[in-house]
Amino acid sequence: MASASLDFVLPAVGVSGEDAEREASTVEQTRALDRFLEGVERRAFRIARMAVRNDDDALDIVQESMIRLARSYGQRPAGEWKPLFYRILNNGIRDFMRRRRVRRRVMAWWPMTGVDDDAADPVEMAPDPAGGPRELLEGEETLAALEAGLSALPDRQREAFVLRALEGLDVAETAVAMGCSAGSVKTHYFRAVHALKDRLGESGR
Amino acid sequence: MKDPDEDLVSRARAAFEDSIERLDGTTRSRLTQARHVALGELGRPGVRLGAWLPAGALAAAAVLAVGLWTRPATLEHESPPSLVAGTTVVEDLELLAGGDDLDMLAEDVEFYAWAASVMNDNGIS
Repeated sequence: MASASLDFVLPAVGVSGEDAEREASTVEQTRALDRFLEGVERRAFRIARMAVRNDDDALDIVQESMIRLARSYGQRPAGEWKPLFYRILNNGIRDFMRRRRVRRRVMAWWPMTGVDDDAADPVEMAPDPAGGPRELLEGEETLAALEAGLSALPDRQREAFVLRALEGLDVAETAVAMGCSAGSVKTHYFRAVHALKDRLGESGR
Repeated sequence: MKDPDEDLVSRARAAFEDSIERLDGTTRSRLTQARHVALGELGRPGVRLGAWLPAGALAAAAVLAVGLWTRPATLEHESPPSLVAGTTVVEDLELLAGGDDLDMLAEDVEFYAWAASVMNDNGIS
């Protein structure tokens, strides 16, 4: 399935010698990257979606993360991609959140506060998803509670929990992905678990 | 006895995995398209904006961003919203600390320039 979809990006193979070897290597690397991205793209989308709570924004962040990985680290060994990808993804999410926060603060100074163009950011204004009818109807109570709980966490705690608990990265991989020490990962993760306990303990059963 | 932390993690992980399985077709399709775009970029050098932007512009954007976070709400009638619940200024500043973030910050110069213009228009220095 994956290989059939790669025809448009794979170079034509019809040369010999070193060029042929190089092209074969490129083809193999492209296939490996395709397999990797196919394996993480839905998870990455969910992670981004939980943070920014908007499908289109989450898709943009994931696509940009994929492109950055391909451009900057696509030639690296496949075994290195996972923590690198999640680091790029985390940075993308942080970047988005940073712009959103600055925009909020700037708009608070805007003289025409009643005519707030960026009030069209309905996701920020949306009610707690734990109480949304769609989620309840679809039986997504635990997920809704998880999303709400994660959205209330500080960024670093949310990242640590997502990477460790949901993505299954070990402490060292999480440290690479978060760009911090293993000790910091443990601290953020511990705090995140305990902050989430009350919320999920009550509504997630 | 089962560790309550493990129970929390197990339930969270199950909900997460379930949500991935139930991802709608449209989103899956858009992710596939995004992947194809990314594969087309394999080995293609990205344009690092930090490489051509004047150092001053990057520094100004960084200073402005920090200022927006740290500046106390002292103006009359203003009531800037607090940052996201549970987020501290220190953690916000941490967002700027990483090298990758500075690279991304370079891409936001236009945005921060707009923010600066709003502040200037309102006599906020």
